[in-house]
This record gives sequence, structure tokens and C-alpha cells, in this order.
Amino acid sequence: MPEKVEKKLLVVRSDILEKLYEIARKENKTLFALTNEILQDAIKVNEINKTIGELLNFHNLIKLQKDSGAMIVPSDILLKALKNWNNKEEMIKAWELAGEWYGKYLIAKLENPLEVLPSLFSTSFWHLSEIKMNMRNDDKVIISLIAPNTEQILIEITVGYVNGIMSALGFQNTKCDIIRGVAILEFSKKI
Amino acid sequence: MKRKFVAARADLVEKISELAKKSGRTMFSILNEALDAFIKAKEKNKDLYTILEEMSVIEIARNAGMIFVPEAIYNIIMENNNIENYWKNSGQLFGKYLEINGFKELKNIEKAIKEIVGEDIDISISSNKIICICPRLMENRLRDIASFLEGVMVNFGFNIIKKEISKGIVIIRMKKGETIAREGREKTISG
Repeated sequence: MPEKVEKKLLVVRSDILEKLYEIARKENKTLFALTNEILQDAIKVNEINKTIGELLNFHNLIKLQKDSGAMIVPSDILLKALKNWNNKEEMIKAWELAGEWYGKYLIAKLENPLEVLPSLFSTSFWHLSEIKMNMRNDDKVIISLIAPNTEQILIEITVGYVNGIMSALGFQNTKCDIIRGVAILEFSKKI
Repeated sequence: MKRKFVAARADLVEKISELAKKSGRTMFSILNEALDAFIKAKEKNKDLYTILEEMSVIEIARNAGMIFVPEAIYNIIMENNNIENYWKNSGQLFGKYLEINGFKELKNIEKAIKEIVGEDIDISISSNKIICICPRLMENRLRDIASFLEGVMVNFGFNIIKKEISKGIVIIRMKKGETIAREGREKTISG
């Protein structure tokens, strides 16, 4: 005789339960089996100190980034290439243009790109240790990029890239302080 | 908001209850978040386990010193730099990180590589060869990918016997274990 499994009842939102029931039916599973699978996954995700919601959000942002054509490249390759770039101004301009294109891509893909920007930056700028974005009213944005252990050139190209993104989103750079390991950028809405 | 009951295994419910206590949240909120995330993932034809696996590869890439680079910038870099060898070293490093994180089976390594080089690139790894097909890729990008693959497999104890790169296709023949002098054995067929 199969061992009897001890069960407990959980309270859930009824709209979610309806959808879950539908999935269980399509997959030919019992609601009990499906619920257990999800709980097991939730526990696994928690082991990496994330909630399932955070994990899904992270996945969506990475997908957005990859769908834009962005490539995952070893940073030493990028650094070597940046150091070989003869004209620094031209290099920053290239990143600004890439940022501008990305900003337009975000407008095309998202309803409110500005709202997603802070989490998008933290998900995709792996070379930075901290990114802060403050919105003052609707027309002023301050972005701080912090990376004390990163090569300065990576911060400079990131500033160019962020300037490009913000320009596409209708903001112009009004202040740009770059010191070792830190960049503070202020933007105002274009008139 | 209407609520309903759903049954689950008692041991799993206990664990979720512990998580709720630790994070200072209610079980109701944790459970709904998990179920809702599961439904959203299903809508994108994914399951949470796959998402968790994909995101752990992204974390490995991040820890191995990789970085997101816009496609336009990468194309400029490729035009002006000979970076093939860097890709091989980087592949070895990435392979090492995979190994540390428990990736040993070829199927898992294959999945992890796809996550890094792009899902639209068809890569299959068997015990004696790697086949990579992507007709739309430029040849120098394909060369970089081939070098990266080579680096990863060298880390896992494979010797590269022959590397063929033709238009949109890479075939890498390899053998596990033996030391084979590789000088002069790489063959390139131009497309």
C-alpha cells in the first residue's frame, strides 16, 4: 500500500487558483501535485536568497536585454578593445549612440521605460557595484553609478550609454560629475 | 478579494511557513506570489525550474567577469581587434566556474553555453564533437564562439582534434583525456 501523504490546506487567491486549476487540467496533473511542484520550486529559489517574484523579474529583464541584441562578453575583451580605441571621444559617442538606440528599443517594448530603468540598470550593468536613480518630480532625474573597483574607462562608457538612453527617453544631461569609481549624472526633461 | 483553499504536502507547507516567518511576510502573500509567478512563467512556455537554471548560469557568467555589450559596440570591437584568443581563455574560465557550480554533464554544459552565446544559436555537444549552427552570424563572431566553446571543453578535459568553421557552421571534433599535439591541426574553411 502506498504511504499516506500528510496534507495541509492553504489559503490562496481564488483567481490564481482558477488559473492553476486550468494548467493542471491541461497538463493532466492533479491540483495537489501541481501545487506541490510549485512549492518545491519556491523553496529552491529561496535557497539562493530570492523570491520567485524577484527571480521572474530578473529573468524578464535579462530577456529584454538579450532580445535587444546585447551580448555577454568577457570584460577583459571589452577592456582590451576599449584601450585600443584610438579616439576616446569617438568611443564615448559610439556608446552614446548605442544607448540612444537602446532607449528607443525600451520605448517600443515597454509602457513606462523610466519606471523599469533602475532595475534594468542593476540587472544589466554587471561591472557596477551600485546604481541609484532618483526621480524628482517628473522632470528631473539623478543617476549615480558606483564602482570603486572597476576600471575608470568602464564607468566612462557607461556614462555615455546612460546619456544615450536618457536622451531617447526625452531627458538632457544637465550635470555630469565623474571621479574615480563614481559618476553622478543629472537629467532634466527636454523642452 | 475572494479566497479559496488548496491542499499541499504538509512538509512543504511547513517549510513555506518557516520562510514566511524568516522574511516577516504572510504565508498568503508568499504562496500567491509563487503561484502567480508560476502562471506567468507558464504563459511564456517556461517553468520555474528552467528559469532558475537559466538565471544561475547568468550569475555564473557575471561572477566569471562577463559583461553585457550592445551589439553595435561588439561589431565595432570585432572589426578592429583580434580577440579570438581572449575568447578561448574566457571559455576556459567560464568552464571552470561551471565546474565549480556543479555543471558536469554535457547536456547541462550545452544549456549553459546556449544561455551565454544566445538561444538562437543551435549548439549540440556530444562526447566527440560540437556542432554549432547559425547561418545568420558573421564569420568573425562565429570564430569567437568557436574559440569560447573550445576553451570551455578544454577545461572539462577534452582535447580539440579539429576545428572547422564554414559559413554559419562550426564543427569541433574532440576527444576526452588524451594529450594530442594540436599545433597545425586547426582547419578553417572559408565560406
